[in-house]
This record gives sequence, C-alpha cells and structure tokens, in this order.
Amino acid sequence: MQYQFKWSVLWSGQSAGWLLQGLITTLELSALAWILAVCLGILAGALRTVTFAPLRAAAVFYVEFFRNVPLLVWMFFWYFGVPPLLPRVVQDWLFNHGAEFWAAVIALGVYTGARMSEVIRAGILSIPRTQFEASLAMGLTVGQAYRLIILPIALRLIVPPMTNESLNLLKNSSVALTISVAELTFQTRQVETYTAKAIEALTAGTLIYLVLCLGIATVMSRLERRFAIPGLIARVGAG
Amino acid sequence: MNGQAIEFKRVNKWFGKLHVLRDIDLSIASGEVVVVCGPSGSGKSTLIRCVNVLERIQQGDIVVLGQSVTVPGLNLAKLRTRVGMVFQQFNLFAHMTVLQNIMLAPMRVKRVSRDEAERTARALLERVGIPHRADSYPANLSGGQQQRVAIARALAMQPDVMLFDEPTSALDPEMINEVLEVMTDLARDGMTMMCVTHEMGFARRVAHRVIFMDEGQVIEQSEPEAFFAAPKSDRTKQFLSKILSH
Amino acid sequence: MKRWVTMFLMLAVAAAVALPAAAQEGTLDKIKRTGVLTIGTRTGSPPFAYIDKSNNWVGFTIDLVEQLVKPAVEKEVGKAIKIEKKESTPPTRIPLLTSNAVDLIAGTMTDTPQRRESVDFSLTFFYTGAQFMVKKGSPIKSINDIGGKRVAAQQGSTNAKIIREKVPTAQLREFPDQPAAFQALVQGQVDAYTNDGIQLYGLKAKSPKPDDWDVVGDFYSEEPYGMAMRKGDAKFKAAVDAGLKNGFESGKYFDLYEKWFGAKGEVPYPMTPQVKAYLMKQIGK
Repeated sequence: MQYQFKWSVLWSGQSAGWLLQGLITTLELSALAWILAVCLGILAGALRTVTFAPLRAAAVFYVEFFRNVPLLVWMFFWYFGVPPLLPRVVQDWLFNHGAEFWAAVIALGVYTGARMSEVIRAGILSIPRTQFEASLAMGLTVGQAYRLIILPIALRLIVPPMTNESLNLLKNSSVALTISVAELTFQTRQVETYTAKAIEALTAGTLIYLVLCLGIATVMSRLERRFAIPGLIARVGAG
Repeated sequence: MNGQAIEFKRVNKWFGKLHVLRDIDLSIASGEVVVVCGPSGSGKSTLIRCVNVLERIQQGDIVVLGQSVTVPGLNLAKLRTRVGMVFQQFNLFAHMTVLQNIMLAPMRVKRVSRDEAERTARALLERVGIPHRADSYPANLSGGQQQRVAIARALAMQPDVMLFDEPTSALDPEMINEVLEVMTDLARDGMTMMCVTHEMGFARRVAHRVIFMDEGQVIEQSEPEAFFAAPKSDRTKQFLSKILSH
Repeated sequence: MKRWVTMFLMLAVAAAVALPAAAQEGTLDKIKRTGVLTIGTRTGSPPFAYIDKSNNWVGFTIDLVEQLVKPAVEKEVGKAIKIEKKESTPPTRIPLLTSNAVDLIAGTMTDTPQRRESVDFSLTFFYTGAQFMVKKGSPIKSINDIGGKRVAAQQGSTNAKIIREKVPTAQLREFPDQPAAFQALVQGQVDAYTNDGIQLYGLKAKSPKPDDWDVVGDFYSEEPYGMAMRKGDAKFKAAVDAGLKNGFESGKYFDLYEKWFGAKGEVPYPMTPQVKAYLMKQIGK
C-alpha cells in the first residue's frame, strides 16, 4: 500500500512534450505580462511622485484598486467580464484566437504593475529631491528629468525588490489555469491525470519553477552588477 | 549685455504661514557679482531659488534677463537654460560620467551635436582644472572636484547669469579654495553672479556688492569695503562678529 | 549556495520517499485505533456530493458511505465509527489518499487502468459516460460535430483526454471547476461543455433556466465511478466492497438511487437496464 514511484512517466509518452509546452506557455505569458507590468509600474510609480494632483490621484487609484483585488478575480474579470462588452463578431474572433491567454496576460500584467509601481515609487523617493531640481535648473523638462535622470537611477536602486516582484509574477502565472490557459501547472496536472502519478508530476513542476526562479534571480543579479553605479551602490559579491 | 540682469519687485513668499520673503526689492546688474549672506533661515537660499523658479513667489514679480517669471504659461525650461545654478550638494548625476554630466543639457535641451558638446565639455573641464577626470564617475571624485564639475556643467549651457547656493558649505576646508578660485575666475571674466555664501574672504575680494538678509528681509547692502568696515545695522554687526571670529 | 540547493533538494526527495514508507499501518487498524473513517469527497458535484441549501454536506455517494460502507467497516473493526469528510478535487484526490490524509475517495472518480496503477477501486457504484452540454439549437449533436469547435472540459478529467485523442481538431479549453466551465459556455467562450452525462444533467437541473440547455450525444466514453483506496490494502477493500455488495443484494442501493436520481430526486436520471445489468454482473448476478 506504499506509494510506488515511477519517475519514467515524466519522459515516457507525451508527458515531456506537455511539460515543455507548459513551460513555453508559462514563459510567454510571464514575459508579456512582465513587459506590461514594468511599463505600467514605471508610469504609475512616476506619476505618484509628480506635483500635479489629478495625475497623482489617478495613479493612486490604479495602484490601490488593482493590487487590493485578488489576482484570481482579475483573471475572471478579463476573461468573463470584459468580452461580453464587445461586439459578438469580435468576441468570436477572440475566443478562437486565445482570448484566455491574452486575458491572463492583461490580468497578470496590470496586477503586477500595480505592485511594481510601489517599488518604483519608493526608488524614486529615495533619490534626493535636489537631483530633480538640478535637472530642471539645467533646462530639462519634467519629462526629460524623469526619463534621463530620475528613472535611470531609481531603476538601478530597485533591482532587488523588482527581482522579487518578477519571481512573484512567474509563480502567479499559474493562476491562469483557472481560465483554461495550458501553462506549466496545468500541464503538470495533465501529466497527473494521464499517469495518475501525482508526486512525480508535482515534483517535475516544482523543479521547473525552481530552475526558472533561480535563473531569473541570476540574470537579475548580473544586471544589477552590470549596471551598478560606480561608487554609489556596493557591488554584491565583487572582489 | 547692459542694464539689469535680475530685478526683484516687492517680492513676497510664504511657506504655509511662514513669511519667508518680505517685500524684497533688489536689482542685480549685468556683469555684477553679488554675495548674499545672513543667518540660516534668513531666506537667502529661497531668494536665489526664486530666480530660476525652483520656488514660486506669491506676490510681486521677478524679472530675469528681461523676462517676468510670473507670466502665466512661461516656458520655464527656456528661461532656465540662460540661468546656471550650482547647488550645495553638487547634484551631479551619479549614473553618468563627468563628461556625460556636462554634455547632457547641451545635447538634450539645445540640440547641440555630440561632437560639439564634447568639445565644449572638455574645454570647460580644462577651465575648471580637471581635464583628466572626464571619464570618471562622480562618486570617485573628491567633493571639490565634484563641485567644479557642477560649475562646468552649468557653464556648458552658456548662461547669462550664474546662481550659487552655498557652493562650498558641504566641502572639507582644504577643498574650498579650489572651488572659490574657479568662481573668482568666472567673476573676472565678467559673468553675472548671485552667490549665497558665508565665504567672506571671497565676498571681500570678488563681490561688487554684499547683501545681508535676516528674517526674510534685506537688512543692508553695500560695497564690500563699506560692508565689512562699517556695517550699519546691529544685526549685521552681530552676524559678522560671529562669522569672522574664527 | 549551489551546494545548499543541492542538499535541500536531496533532503526533499528523501523525505518524499521516506514518509509513505513510515506509514505501514493498515487502514482498518487505523480506523480501529481512531474510530474515524476519513473520506475525500466533493463539495460541488450534485447529486453525488455537495453542500445543499441548508449548508449540509450531502449526496448519493455520501449516503452510500454512511449507509452501506460504514456498517461493513464497523463490523470489521468491531466498534462504532464516525465518518469525517474532506474536500478533494481531481488533482488532489490521489495525493490525499497516498499521504494518508484521507482513507477513501468517495466522489465522482472514474475507475481507469492508469489510476489502478496508483490506487485500488471498489466495485463500481455508478455508471455514466461523457456527453456534451450545448445551448438549445446548437448544431453540435455528438462527438462527431465538434471538429474545429471550442469545447470546455474539466481539468484532470478523462473526457479531455479522449477528446484530445479522438478529435484533435477540437479546441479544448480546460477549466479547474465546473462553475467556470459552465460560465464559459453561458458566455460563448466555448460552444460546448463536455463532462460525464450525469454531471451535465445535474448542472442543467441547477441552472437558472434549465430549458436553455441540451445534453446531447451518445456516451463517447465509459465512466464507471468507483471509490478509491490506497493500493494493496486488501482487507480494507474487502470491507468496502462487502458493504456495496450488500447494498446491491438487499436493494438498499437501489432505494438510495431512487432517492437521488428518481423522478422526484435531485437529478432525475433513470437507470437503464444495461446499467443495472452491468452493476449486478459485478457481484455475479
């Protein structure tokens, strides 16, 4: 009655192919959502530090609204809630062309963007206000000051917390299975369905996520070192 | 350039309830070097920051190079290209090399070509005495060197007026002189300068006029000789006795 | 750093291998010791196992356990026992069983050869097959019509597997639970929803407008439901089977079937003679 391990189920039959497909979908979903999240995060994070109150209020609304509602709800919202607002023809086209995938990208991107904006805001606020004044005093516009000075410095300062958010994004992408996106966790379950070998399938999924996360962490720490500001940010592990 | 470079006309400013500038009337002529001094909290930094509109005034007007700063919809960036500013904390951009710091505004604001910007930048580094640090990052420079780069960076825009907001206050004593020398050269070249500083030696040697402020008001202004030899108000005397005693 | 990761992984794997091995106690011994039979069942699969309007956890499968299996197990262990219920879903049910969190899966689990490699199944207690639920008037009438169509299925179900093999051109969308899949059908994200026929009848009966929906198609799969147990525990399996066998013989099983699937039951689903013959054949009748 003891559990019989049979690791070969992971590479026999279609399992390996499914896990690979799931991995690719997870990577695509995470990458697109990450790009969206970073853009929104930078925009909202920067807007929260400007002096013009209506823009600041809009950014606060975005952040508080989107990060305080569970991701699962956002998945359902973008998949079940939004399409009915579109014309029937558009709906049909979407449903035939991976609506669930794009709904997941938007849900994950917008949700993570709200979280990232807080990190970015903190990064911007950690830069002395006088740096901003010096930029303006030279004749740069507010937009140029953010683009050329404030954000490039802030983005370097926030690599570690951004790594955190990026890893969360990757792991959160598994929530997409609730709206039928065949990502890695989905395929892990698929393997379990076909082989009835739950522990093997879950272990495979766990290891893949672990490797992905370690990979991301490594890339981010390389980035951190590569773009470190000489003399300003201590190089981690150098020398 | 003739006439007045900066004119303060009954300028009043409040921070909340705090009345920080009271009825300031002041003119600075083209080519004039003015030192503004006074105890901390006297409003001297605020005064200088109003010139390039880092602070806004609530009453009165300031005319900078013929341009009123209170005109609605004023193109601030354009005005600021003509007014250079040097800060107490240098404020070099840490992620750029010295050269990039100096080239940034000419290229981004004036749309000068990279080659020309670099030529200008190197010439300015020569002028402030640190041509060999062009490719260093700010964090690897001493405070005095950083402040000289900051001056070069402001000069790169070829401003008509230079504002100095306590440029030596954050420096170790042995570095103060190298910065003051650069400022002195600049004054000799005829630059219009408004300097908030406690360097009374510099004021005595270089300034055309010294202004003493306290509690948001201009208490006294005169030529350096007269200012130091025979201050008129008691508050000026008090201030000078404190600052010159060491 | 890397060495630590390696070591952690090795420990984790070692723990995974060692833990099941530590639990050698037979299920009946465990029940005798604790006085509790823990079942893993569903909360949203009417009429098999669900939470009803007055918040009771009830259903046909739960009745089978309470009224047929429980007395048989009590007879074996020689004392009165309690039934404890835990939520189990298709992806979690086998791990729940093998980790000893539950002793018996009594829900809507189909008995398949693959699953028999991991768990043992009781006698079949219900027999159904996969069909399709569509909007009334849909051109889909059976599995032959779903090529190129969007079809929802439940994740971890055998139906999805069969569709993938038989009609690879169908666009399969797999949802983790029935409500989401049905929602997708209601809104047009999918053209059909496939599940075991009885599940679809249950869903239709519970939907706000039952007349809007049709359950169509012959069974394209055979779905014999069984109760699952840890593999190799012959004594426990004998007790569970004895309880079900007694139910078939005494007719008590059929009373319960009538209660839930009869004309006045939760989901009317009359038993066909073929199904009855299939069930009785198990006990040699």
